[in-house]
Amino acid sequence: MHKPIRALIRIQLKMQYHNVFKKPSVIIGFVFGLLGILFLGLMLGGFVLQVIDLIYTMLEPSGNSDIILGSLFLMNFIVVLLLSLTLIMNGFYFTEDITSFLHFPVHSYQLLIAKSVNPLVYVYLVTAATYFPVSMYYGVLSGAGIVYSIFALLLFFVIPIIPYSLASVIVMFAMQFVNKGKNKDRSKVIGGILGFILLILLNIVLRLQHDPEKVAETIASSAEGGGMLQMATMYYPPAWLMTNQLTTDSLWMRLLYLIIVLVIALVSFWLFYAASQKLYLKGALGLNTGSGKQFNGKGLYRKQTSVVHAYRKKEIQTIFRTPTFFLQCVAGTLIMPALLVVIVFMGDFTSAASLAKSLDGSGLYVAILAVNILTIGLNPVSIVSFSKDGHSWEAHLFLPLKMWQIVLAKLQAAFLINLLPITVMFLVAVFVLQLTIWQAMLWLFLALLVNAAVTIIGMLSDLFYPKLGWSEETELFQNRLASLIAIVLSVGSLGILIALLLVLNMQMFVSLLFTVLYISLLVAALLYTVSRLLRSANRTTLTK
Amino acid sequence: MIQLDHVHKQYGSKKAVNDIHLTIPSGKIFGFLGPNGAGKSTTIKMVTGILPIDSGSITINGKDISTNTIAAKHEFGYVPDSPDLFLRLNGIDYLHFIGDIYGISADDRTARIEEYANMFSIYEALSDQIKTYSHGMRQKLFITGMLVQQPSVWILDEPMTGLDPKSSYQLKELMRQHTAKGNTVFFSSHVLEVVEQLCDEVAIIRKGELLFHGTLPKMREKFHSDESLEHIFLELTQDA
Repeated sequence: MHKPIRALIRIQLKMQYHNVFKKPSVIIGFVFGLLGILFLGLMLGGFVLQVIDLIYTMLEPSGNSDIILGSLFLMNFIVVLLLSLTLIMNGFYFTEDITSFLHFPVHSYQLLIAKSVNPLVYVYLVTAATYFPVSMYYGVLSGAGIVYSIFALLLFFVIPIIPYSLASVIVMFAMQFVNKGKNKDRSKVIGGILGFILLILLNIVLRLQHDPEKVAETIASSAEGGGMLQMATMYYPPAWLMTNQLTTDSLWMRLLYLIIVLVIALVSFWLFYAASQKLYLKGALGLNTGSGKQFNGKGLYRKQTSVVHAYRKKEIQTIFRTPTFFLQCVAGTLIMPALLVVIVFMGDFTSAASLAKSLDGSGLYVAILAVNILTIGLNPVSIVSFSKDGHSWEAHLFLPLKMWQIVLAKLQAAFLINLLPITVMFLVAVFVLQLTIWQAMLWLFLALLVNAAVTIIGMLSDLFYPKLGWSEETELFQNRLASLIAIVLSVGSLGILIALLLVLNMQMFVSLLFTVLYISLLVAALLYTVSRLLRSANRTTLTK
Repeated sequence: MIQLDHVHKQYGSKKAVNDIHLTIPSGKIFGFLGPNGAGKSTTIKMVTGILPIDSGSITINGKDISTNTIAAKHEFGYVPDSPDLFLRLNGIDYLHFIGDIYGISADDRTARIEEYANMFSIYEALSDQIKTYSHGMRQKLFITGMLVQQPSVWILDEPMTGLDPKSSYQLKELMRQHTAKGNTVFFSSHVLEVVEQLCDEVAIIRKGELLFHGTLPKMREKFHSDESLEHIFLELTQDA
């Protein structure tokens, strides 16, 4: 029974992690990513531990300090549940390799256990990042001993199982109905957009609660009535059991709580097993990307267009029709403008409009430029300019296409798609910030200039480290050195511009001329580098 | 006409194609044979401009693929062995894309798309993404793309793979009609029966070296054999 599971797990791990750490670019990307996470952890960690300290001091006298652990288990449950929903949907249903396994003589649960390995790696990492610091800090505050630490470690392995299994059952149940439409692409896009909305909502919630003392006070005041733990964990009893497991004095009671928690975990695993066997294939079989409609002659006759126009159209069609490209390059570009709106409205500014009015000519000019760089400073379409072609790149080698035609069409497509966040930001500038018509025109003009620069920066970054040999589109947006290079180049070149404008403190019109000259020179230098790189690149693999 | 003049290609220390000198004349169906890894695809990729040539030269209708690349590429249509390209385009979008790249007028391409897409029974699937097509349907779409283009030289890498018998028959007929007008068809295949019934000339390649080039009767004469092409081919390539 376990042999197929072992074989399936082995092949999953090999496919996902084999060769991952053999390329220097991946190692550098990984190190930078890790440093970023560490930096973010230290920033957020300090805030969280401060809140815990305050809550503990407030609640300890009334004996309600265990709410910290209760909230931790509850939060872990919610985070793992939400994270698992996306991971499971992608891993169980939307990966391209899923059909390669469906014909094997293995049970659904065996396949899904193997398919769970990658999502569980993420889930356990995320759990560890929040669970260990908080539970260990609580242990230090409460003066808990080694037994506490051992049980806390044991519970760590159980925590994700319940929400993960529950998420699996929810997804498998829902996918039966999604499969009625049998359209994988549409389901992917809907799932992705819901994920973005969730991210923005989460940001709004975090923005509303950014003062540690206020957070602690709110919790402490609602704990006055006592029995806070029961209240908080009412909807998720395992959190109550786990908290008591760690805080009860009696060892026998601790063991009893542990056994109950383990039984609940086993029951949830059984639910995972039962859902896998009963529901999985109903959702997975027949899920495809076909429209099922017959061609009715619409679009059979089309006017002849130029090569660049035809190629640009092909680029835009590819981006809009590939769920991953659509989510990352179109829907994803709206996140920054949306977050900026959230920051403006939820931040300390009482009125963004009055702030805009309070800035003088040159100050407002730099502010507009900076906001534009912040919101459209990266063009995700151009970062995958060449890489998104993947194996189709070969066609460029036998079709009678000149390299300048390809480059021009790719740049145009990337520039045009990035007009979407620019339009959104322009509308925000006009209707929310209530800029005058001249200020709004200036906003638009600077946005277009920045867009031109970042579009070429993105293409250049993709040429530095192209990735044509991908098997899933998502690989182009994970751990890529090209994205890092694009960020460094954008922040570097446009940051220098901002710094120069601040130092020189010129009049608005002179600043504008200076910006046009600076970005024109930057664009020319970037285009020259692109052409040099293309000339020296191997045409087949785009490597130097 | 395709002219390969002492073409050489090397990967590291391995000679993939070694000094191939070959003329594929106009008005002929030319079969390119060889076991797996013999150098067929490498040769075709050099002819089509996908791979650079280490030494020697290749011309298509007199246009050098290395020095006069774009003009040479306008001379031929190519159907690759794995037609996994432009998967996110709809069939109809792909055909129009090809029409625009090769400068085919709107009227001409509309008529050709209708004719050949119906001939290969893919017309009804033209609004679907290529990604959803089977291997055979992708093959038919790429053949249709080449027919929309209507170049004088056809280069086809394993074109029969995945085709149903009706489509396979129609493609063979089209090849005959095309060469009857004085054009060139150059294709590689593992299906020796097809080569035997279709080709005017064949070339056999093994380990990057050209073993034979000529007509089938010449081959039988050279190897003193009345056996089938399959038998001669197996004998020639037995230690491959």
